[in-house]
Amino acid sequence: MRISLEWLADYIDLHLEDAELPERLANGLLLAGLEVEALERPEASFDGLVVAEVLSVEAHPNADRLKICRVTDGAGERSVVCGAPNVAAGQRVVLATPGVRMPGGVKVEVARIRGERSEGMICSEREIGLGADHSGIMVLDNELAIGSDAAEILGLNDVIFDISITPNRADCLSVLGVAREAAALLGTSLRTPEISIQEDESVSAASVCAVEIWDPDKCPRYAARIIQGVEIGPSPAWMARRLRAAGMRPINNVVDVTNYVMLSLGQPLHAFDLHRLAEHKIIVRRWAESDGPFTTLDGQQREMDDEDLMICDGEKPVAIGGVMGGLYSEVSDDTRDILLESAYFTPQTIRRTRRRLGMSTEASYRFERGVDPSGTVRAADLAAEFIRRTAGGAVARGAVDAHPAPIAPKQVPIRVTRASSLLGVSLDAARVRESLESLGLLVNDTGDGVFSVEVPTFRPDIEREIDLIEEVGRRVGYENIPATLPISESPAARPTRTRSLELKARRIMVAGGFSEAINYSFVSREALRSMGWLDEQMVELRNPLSGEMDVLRSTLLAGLLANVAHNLSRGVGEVRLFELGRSFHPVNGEALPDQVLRLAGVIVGSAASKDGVSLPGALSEQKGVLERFLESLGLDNLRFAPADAVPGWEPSAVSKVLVGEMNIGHVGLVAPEALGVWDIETGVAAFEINLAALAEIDPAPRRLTPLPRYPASLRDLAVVVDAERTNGEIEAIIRQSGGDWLESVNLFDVYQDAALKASGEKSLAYSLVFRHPEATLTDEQVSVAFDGIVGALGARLNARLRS
Amino acid sequence: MSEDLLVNMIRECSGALSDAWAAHDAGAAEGVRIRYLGRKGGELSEVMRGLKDLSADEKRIVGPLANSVRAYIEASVSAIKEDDKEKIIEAHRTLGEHLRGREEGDALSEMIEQRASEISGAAVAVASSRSRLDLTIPGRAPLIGHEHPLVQTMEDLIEVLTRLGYSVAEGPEAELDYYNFEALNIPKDHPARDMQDTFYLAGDALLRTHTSPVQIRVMENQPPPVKVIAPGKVFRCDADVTHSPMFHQIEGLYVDEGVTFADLKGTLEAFVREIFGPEYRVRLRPSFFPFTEPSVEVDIASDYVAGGEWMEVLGAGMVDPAVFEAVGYDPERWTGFAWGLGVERITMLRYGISDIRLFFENDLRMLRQF
Repeated sequence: MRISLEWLADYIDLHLEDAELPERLANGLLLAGLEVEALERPEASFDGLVVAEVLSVEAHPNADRLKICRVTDGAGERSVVCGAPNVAAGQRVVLATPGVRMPGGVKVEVARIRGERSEGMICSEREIGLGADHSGIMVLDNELAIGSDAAEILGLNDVIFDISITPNRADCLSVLGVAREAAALLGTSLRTPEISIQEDESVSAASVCAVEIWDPDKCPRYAARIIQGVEIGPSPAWMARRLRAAGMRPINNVVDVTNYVMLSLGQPLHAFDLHRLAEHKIIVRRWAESDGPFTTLDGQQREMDDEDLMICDGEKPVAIGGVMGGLYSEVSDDTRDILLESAYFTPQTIRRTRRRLGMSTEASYRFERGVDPSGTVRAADLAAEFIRRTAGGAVARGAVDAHPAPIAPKQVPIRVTRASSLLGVSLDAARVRESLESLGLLVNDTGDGVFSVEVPTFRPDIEREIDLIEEVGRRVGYENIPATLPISESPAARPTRTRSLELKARRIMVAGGFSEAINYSFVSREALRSMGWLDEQMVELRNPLSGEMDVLRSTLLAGLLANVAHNLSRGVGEVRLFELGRSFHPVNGEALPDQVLRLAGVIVGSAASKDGVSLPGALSEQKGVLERFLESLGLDNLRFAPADAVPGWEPSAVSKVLVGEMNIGHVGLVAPEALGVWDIETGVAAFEINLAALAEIDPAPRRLTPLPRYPASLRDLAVVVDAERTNGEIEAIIRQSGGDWLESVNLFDVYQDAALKASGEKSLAYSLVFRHPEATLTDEQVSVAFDGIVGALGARLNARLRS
Repeated sequence: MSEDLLVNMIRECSGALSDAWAAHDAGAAEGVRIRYLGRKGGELSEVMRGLKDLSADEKRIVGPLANSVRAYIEASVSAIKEDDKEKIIEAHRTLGEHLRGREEGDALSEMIEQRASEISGAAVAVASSRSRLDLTIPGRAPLIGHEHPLVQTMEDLIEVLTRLGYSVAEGPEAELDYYNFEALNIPKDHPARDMQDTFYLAGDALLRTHTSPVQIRVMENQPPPVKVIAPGKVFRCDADVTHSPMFHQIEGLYVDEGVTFADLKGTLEAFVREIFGPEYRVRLRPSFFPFTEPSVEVDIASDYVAGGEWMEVLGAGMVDPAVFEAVGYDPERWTGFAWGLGVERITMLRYGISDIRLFFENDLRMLRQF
């Protein structure tokens, strides 16, 4: 809401000459909850900005787009070079004479432009900071006196408060409402303008038109005024200026009055051409099938439904109630007689319709927040009188005020003690009363420290005691309320197991050289499809921002691969990233998808194994970090087993991660098709596990294993096995057959040379540690155990010792 | 027997001491001292404790030898600690002289003399090699990763709030309309719904537009008092330099008997000063949220930042009685406050980041700066 300081002064006494006033007022409003986002002061020195007339326009000899204009500013004639396409002889224009400093700091001077002398500048709206229009120069009303002070007429010296009004403060969507707040904080009284309306006693409005409300639930009140014999033309300069200051474009003297009164009092108004209304009648009712689509005054044809409230004449709809008028009944240049509407529509009705239509107008914005149902007639009177003054004509006697469902002021109680105890500041009854009264509320003492407050209808937001307490708090000022720290008796709860896991995962991944990524929870459906996910496995957004983010992620890998591509394309070679976040999976019959906290990592590196049997380096590192993390959780039943086809993974290089029998995720190489989605040409090793599932597993209690007191015996075991055999199988056999004293088994080499390759075999080498807890093992004892292992491997895997 | 033990001891400890000397390793020297002279279980100490059980003859031989070994170890250890070459050579000479002429003594004495001359030679060698090292050469960097800057901010905030007694609570990101809006006093036809552009999923599901639904879930599941924070991702259909369709919030909720607006003010002031620094001023100004009343926006300013201008950092308020009614708390008995802040905004202020989209590109050149 743009509020002009000078307009505000219509309603309260302001010392406009006080240079500090705007700042003080802005700060006061801000601390009262009316957030002044910008304070616009004249940033230029407009002394010398005058109304001038264009006498003639000639082509510039050296430039196609430029023109040479002869203008008069009353004092004398001058030549001005102008580039605007719309400049024409006979126009009244804004002329900046040499010496004027324009917004932005440029000083207008006599100059030669492409060889032609230019003694000033004809201005566009944007050049003088009045608006955004820079398509051409600004053309003024021909009534304006040549040579008059354009800055004064255009209100360029006015101060504008651009205030962001919260949705609860419908009453502040007007100059009057803001003035009421300003009066309270400046300690002065509000001046409600007296309307002395001059009516044509010979004609009564009721004899000209009739109003019927068929749906009082949606429209409790509808008032109409009749003005006959108007002449449509431009508005007076002062009104046009105020409209511009408020950010509206002047249109004509009737429409401008409706806007002007709306801005002044907050009551939206609509002017109909009376003769376009069949039977000169207004019927307020719901849309009916037989009405068909409706064309609004912006020329758009709109589909309506039977919850929409229509303003109709004797035959057909002429406006969408509270939202927008119709094209057919709009005021045009030929309009002579006017029916002026000032109504109260219920907020829910307007909100529903305007949302369904996907439009918002100045009127609907106010109606859906709640206008003052007691202010309808006053606004109609003020507008009728303004129309009479600016467009001529005669105002028919009285208003036709259909008011089937009056809205009475509410009575809301407030306890002084409750106000004190909730705000945490000691307040007496007088302070509470004075706070509420300063805002125009009527306070009645009902005894026992309770007030019954009559809330005028312009404050629909105040319904409960807490609403009054907030008003008291605002008036006391939050800066005057003490700051205390509540004493808490209970300590914070321990982090949940999930959160501890998350913290631990982060620590270990970072220590392992991985940096943390955070990606959007939504990804592109196309990308997931290319990775092998099916549509029914995805959760769809109904209103995505773009096709790049139209489904929720079913895997963290999509985001991480996009990050890999981003980094590679910017020359970052060594990419190791991890992410902790949720993936989303539809669940049949459930309103919400499954939302699973996962941990995933990616590392860029060759996907090729150096010899065909050992792990590619990147995958080895990736798996190593995952294993360290899982081991740190004290899980002693961790296994890796071949996985079936999983979306996104290379089938020949992916393994399930199993804790006991529970599959918690996968580790392996990303499939080339998935890499192709992001044009990644190198290999990417990755893992993704379900952290939430891990949190469900109780870790084995941690106990110290006593440090060994007797020396260990070490043996290396190198076996040759069929190339299809896995380390997992071999290790399991070693552990089963190694006897009680086999302490650890560590694979330290996997290889395949040409000879082994030819025979379809590979070699694995392990270092075995044997130790007896109570004695030093003899060579013989170790040899027996070792031979047992060799025997078992030979028998079960046909393994032989490498010679 | 004790004598053999002592001879072995001399061989072993002199080797360890000369290694410690060569390595300038005071720690190793101390290790030698503890091993032999430690009050409990020191090998030489044990021998000396056993003297009383020996025959008079044995005592006469072992006693003085044990004493001189002890003197030797003590002197050598302190010489190594002080890096005193003369002192360690002197200790060796003294022991060497004492050993000469005994059974096996000559060989031992020779070994000790040998050690002494090694030490004096090594000392020269070390001294000559002790030209100043160029420590401006960078060390070898271990490969470590970096936590995301948003996570760092979030964890800092959580740490401060945990100290103030708040427990961490979490809730779903895909949420029901009821929790995100209805229970928070935002009915379907309320203009406040326009304050937040919502991403909708199928049916009544949506992506939560704030972390406030966690408040409702927590209060539905436990009786008051409640003191929780809910960190997490939130979503709004909006994207430009300062708006991301996904961002992070931390929400706080405190409900108890007698909680006041003054308590809210005090908590916010304490919190802001912990996070930003004690030089920050805090300003509360009235605002509107459907689920709190009174509602406030919280601005902070420091004379040293942005020319002392106020910066908006959080929204807060007293829990609206309608919210208590939705979760079955008696609003006459319980009062409370809630606040929420944007983690991105605070991280941007903290590190001078002006484009919110940088957080989600995960460019390692950026991540490695934090």
